[in-house]
Amino acid sequence: MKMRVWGFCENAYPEAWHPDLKSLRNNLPSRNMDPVKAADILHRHLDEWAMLDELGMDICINEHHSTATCLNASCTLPLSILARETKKARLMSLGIHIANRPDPIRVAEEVALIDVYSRGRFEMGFVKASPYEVFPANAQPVGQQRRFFEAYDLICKALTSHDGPFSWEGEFFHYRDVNVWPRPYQQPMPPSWFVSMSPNGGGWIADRNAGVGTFLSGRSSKLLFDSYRRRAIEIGRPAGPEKLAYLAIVAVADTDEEAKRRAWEILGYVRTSPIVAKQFVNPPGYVSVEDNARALRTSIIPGYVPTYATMMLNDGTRIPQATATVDQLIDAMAVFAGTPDKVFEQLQAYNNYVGGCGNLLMMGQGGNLSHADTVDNYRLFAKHVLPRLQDLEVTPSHDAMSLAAAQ
Amino acid sequence: MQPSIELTTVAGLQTEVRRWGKGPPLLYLHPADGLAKEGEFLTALGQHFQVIAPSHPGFGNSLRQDDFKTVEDLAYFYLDFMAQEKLEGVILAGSSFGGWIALEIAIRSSARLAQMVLIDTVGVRFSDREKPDITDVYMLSDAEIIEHSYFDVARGKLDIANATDEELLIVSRNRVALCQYAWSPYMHNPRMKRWLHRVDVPTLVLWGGQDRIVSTDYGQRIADEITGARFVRIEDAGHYPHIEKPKQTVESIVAFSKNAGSDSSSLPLASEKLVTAQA
Repeated sequence: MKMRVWGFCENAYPEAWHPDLKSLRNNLPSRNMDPVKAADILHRHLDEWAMLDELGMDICINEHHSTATCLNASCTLPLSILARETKKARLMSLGIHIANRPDPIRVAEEVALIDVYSRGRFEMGFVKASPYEVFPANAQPVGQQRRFFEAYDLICKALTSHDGPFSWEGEFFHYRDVNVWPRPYQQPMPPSWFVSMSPNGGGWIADRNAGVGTFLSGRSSKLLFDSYRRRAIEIGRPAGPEKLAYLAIVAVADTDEEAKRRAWEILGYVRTSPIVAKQFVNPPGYVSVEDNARALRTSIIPGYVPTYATMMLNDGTRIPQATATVDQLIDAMAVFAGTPDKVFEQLQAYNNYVGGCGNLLMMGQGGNLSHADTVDNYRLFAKHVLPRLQDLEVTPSHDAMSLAAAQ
Repeated sequence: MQPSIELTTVAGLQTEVRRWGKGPPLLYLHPADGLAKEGEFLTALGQHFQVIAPSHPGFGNSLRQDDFKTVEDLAYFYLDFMAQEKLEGVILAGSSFGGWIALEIAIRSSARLAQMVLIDTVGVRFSDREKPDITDVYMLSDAEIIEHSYFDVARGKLDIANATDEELLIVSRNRVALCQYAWSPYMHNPRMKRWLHRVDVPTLVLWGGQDRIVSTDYGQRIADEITGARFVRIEDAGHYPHIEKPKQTVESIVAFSKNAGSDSSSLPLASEKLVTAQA
């Protein structure tokens, strides 16, 4: 099997990460940011992404809002720049916050436009988004899941209908005449991706014939991928590695020591992402009433909230992600770091553990990692690791083998 | 005095209704936190009235369905409820979010209403587009919400250690239901001010003197906009004067209900302007 590698970074603004701040999201005034420096940061990352095209890698971009952890308030805007600046790389949004966007037809137009600009290199990833994102979006958190699915259904219909206007009177969206121009370049539409952070969240994604991505989930990504494969096989849809994507921190260098230093810098993301005022991490309706009642007692919000994210080590113990060491996170399969040989071995072990994952979303920059270090990281990876991922042997786990046999 | 609690069906939804006392019917519409802290007030009110206090759909043990989403839905729900109960001459009372529902009912139909009591109500917008009238509780921590809501902060604390699982489930349900109804436009109906002239029953506007969710100026403004409304300020009380000063609040309501509509009212009119207008 082949493992595609997509370069990824958050476009962070580390200068605003004052250690005494209680919230880097939603209520941090933007006067903490110098727009001239922000321009330098944003151009620097566009340059790094454009370089990935020359290195034979693909590009994945996300978005966050009202935060010093990520200046990308839109993933489609930089992707549209890259649609013109790159020639071969596939371009993935992961993802667009369609439950928080008031106008799904506008999203369909942006998606189709990037696909045409790039002559069919766009992959459209959609996310429900982190809980705190409903505040800057002013999006109703109650019923958000149903709105997410309706928005997706509407976007798909808008991208695949070519016989003139159609009407849509749903629970959340009301349109008399939908007729998107340009239509997408890829037929019937660009590949879809969703994200799940839940160990059993693969079923609804398989039902939609989309790929499943997950972020820094370590060993629990295997459970997610299993749930996806199980459902895909059940309904006769593709369940191969090409439908699975894992986002991890990757740091390569000539020595293990330097690679781990780079990983530690990139992990600035993991250390700052959870710094958010408590009222924003669990908006009403985001978790079930029962889970919320339990959370009132324990003060631990269930589900994926970075503040509380823990990871399983090889010996079965769990560690808090935000305070873990590089070595612990390598053990937990959230970080792949070392010399090219070491990183290849770590990736191979992960790939075998999960039973084959065809897409690595490589967080090759984060925090204060410099441009020179980032370029070196990607170049070393592309030269020494990427070629060895083109035809990987998979020694799948027992579960994955039995699933393959069933297929 | 413990209330009777029953489950009944209103507009197709299972609804929990509490009742206290005998006398003229008083339909009480609870605030965002439901009925958990309202016992002392409603028991005292039950000495004078037949108090009927449902949990709004989605709150307490009342069910809400996905197609039931707005305060407009709540208004029609309570018009159905009053018809179903064959209530006439109702004193319609509401605190905070419950006051907003009362206003939505009154601008639609006052046919079953005799009087209205609004306690630190929300629901109306007066100021310009860049100045909020109502403190945004979703931007505050739990502790800050209590500080803004209570004069005596100790009264607002949620005693989680001693709460039952059922009580915590209700806290969680109430939180979701309120958000469904009041997230945006936040805690008000932008069209409400346009129709306040339709409130044609004697109205008492009660306000906690130290309310930091909606100011006394806002309360005074609501009283000004409702023809003949009376405004009473209760000192040493925040957003929930009926919880912090139940005796005083009940006395004000009883005095108002006896005097409403009579010329011998001992309560001050909302403003000089209204005195002039009525003269």
